[in-house]
Amino acid sequence: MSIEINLLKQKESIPESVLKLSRILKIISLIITGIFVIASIIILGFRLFFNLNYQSLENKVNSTKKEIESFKTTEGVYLAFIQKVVGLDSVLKQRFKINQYLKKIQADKPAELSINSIKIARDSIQMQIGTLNLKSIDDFINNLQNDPDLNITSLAIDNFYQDKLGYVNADFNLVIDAEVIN
Amino acid sequence: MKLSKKTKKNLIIITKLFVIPILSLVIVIALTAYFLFPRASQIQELLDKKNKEEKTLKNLETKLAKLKEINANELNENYTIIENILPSKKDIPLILSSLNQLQDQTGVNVDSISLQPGLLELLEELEVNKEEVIIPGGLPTVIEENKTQEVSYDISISGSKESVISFIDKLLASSPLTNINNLSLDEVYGQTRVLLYLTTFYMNLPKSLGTIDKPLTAYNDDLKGVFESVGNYTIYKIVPDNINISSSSASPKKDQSIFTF
Repeated sequence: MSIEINLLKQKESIPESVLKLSRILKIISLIITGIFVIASIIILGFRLFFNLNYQSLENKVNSTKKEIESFKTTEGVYLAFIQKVVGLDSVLKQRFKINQYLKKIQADKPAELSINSIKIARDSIQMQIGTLNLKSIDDFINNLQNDPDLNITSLAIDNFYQDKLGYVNADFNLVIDAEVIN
Repeated sequence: MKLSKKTKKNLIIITKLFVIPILSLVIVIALTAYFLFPRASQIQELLDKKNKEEKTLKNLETKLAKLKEINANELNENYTIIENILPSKKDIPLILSSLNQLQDQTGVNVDSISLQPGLLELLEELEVNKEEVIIPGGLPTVIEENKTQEVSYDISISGSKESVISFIDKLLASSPLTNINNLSLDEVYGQTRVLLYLTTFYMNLPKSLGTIDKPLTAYNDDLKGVFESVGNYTIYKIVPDNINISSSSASPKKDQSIFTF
């Protein structure tokens, strides 16, 4: 009892401004403590909420994964199928349509002219032709040059031979652009 | 040094009025910071994980929906067709068998076949994506998963011009997928002789499906067009129905199933 009276006496002796400052300090401390406590509660609440949310998401993901796993054979076949179609596409794109060339040349060839041999590669065609009719060679050259599907970039006759009977043998050398034909 | 009574009193007052509140404030802040900051960073981590999981879930749900849309019977039929056209292994008997059948159908004579098959079945055993394998007496073989592989060979055929052209046409429109690289044709006494330099293709099956959340490649119109373009191909050999997607034991090899995650 004597101590309390003593403290009261002491307080009375402290200047009012100092007491006011102390009170402000206490209020600020209280407010800051309050803010921190509320923040703690909010953060913990959020954590709990997100944790639950995450767990439920995780469960959903796991159940969806399980469901997908039940389709894994279908997925495997599908994957293999798609990859093969892609592979097929790449092969077909680079395919050199040699049969089309053969047919085009056959179509451009005049009836009086015969092709004794032909070599077709991706960028060139070599032919050995034979005929008794010189004009048919000229027609053949014109047909080849004017065929839009063949896209011949150069045509050369490497060898030309005519015998006594008038039979002509000629070696044609054609440079082609293989990407054009469809 | 001895403090006076008044000084002592002042010190007590200052301590009570200022030091204790400031000290308690500092303790509160320090404790809160010590316990809360990690929690706050955990929340950030959780949020990141949650966002990631949401994205994964979305991908998985999309994938699942697409998988449910797949008509298993149709896929099975289409796969059987494409497996015949682009086999999963270097099938030399299939190549020879198809040439034989082409010969019978077109009436040409297959005079000779020259090929160097190189490595055959070992391809299946290797668990690598890409490896160069050299076997004694064989050609180096580069094994690449998910890429078309080639077998090159040449054949010599003879017959009438029409039958030879028919043979070439049918060869390009039949299984297994074959390209003609070069052609050399000679006409001797009405008989056409042709030397063909060919490449037949095959493609190894994928070894794994990859991660479960890997999205499905869309079977778009371009790919449909490619598949339809081989729809009228003559199939010379029907592969055994070793992949039946209605059954869980459907993978080509049970012990090293390609359809596992």
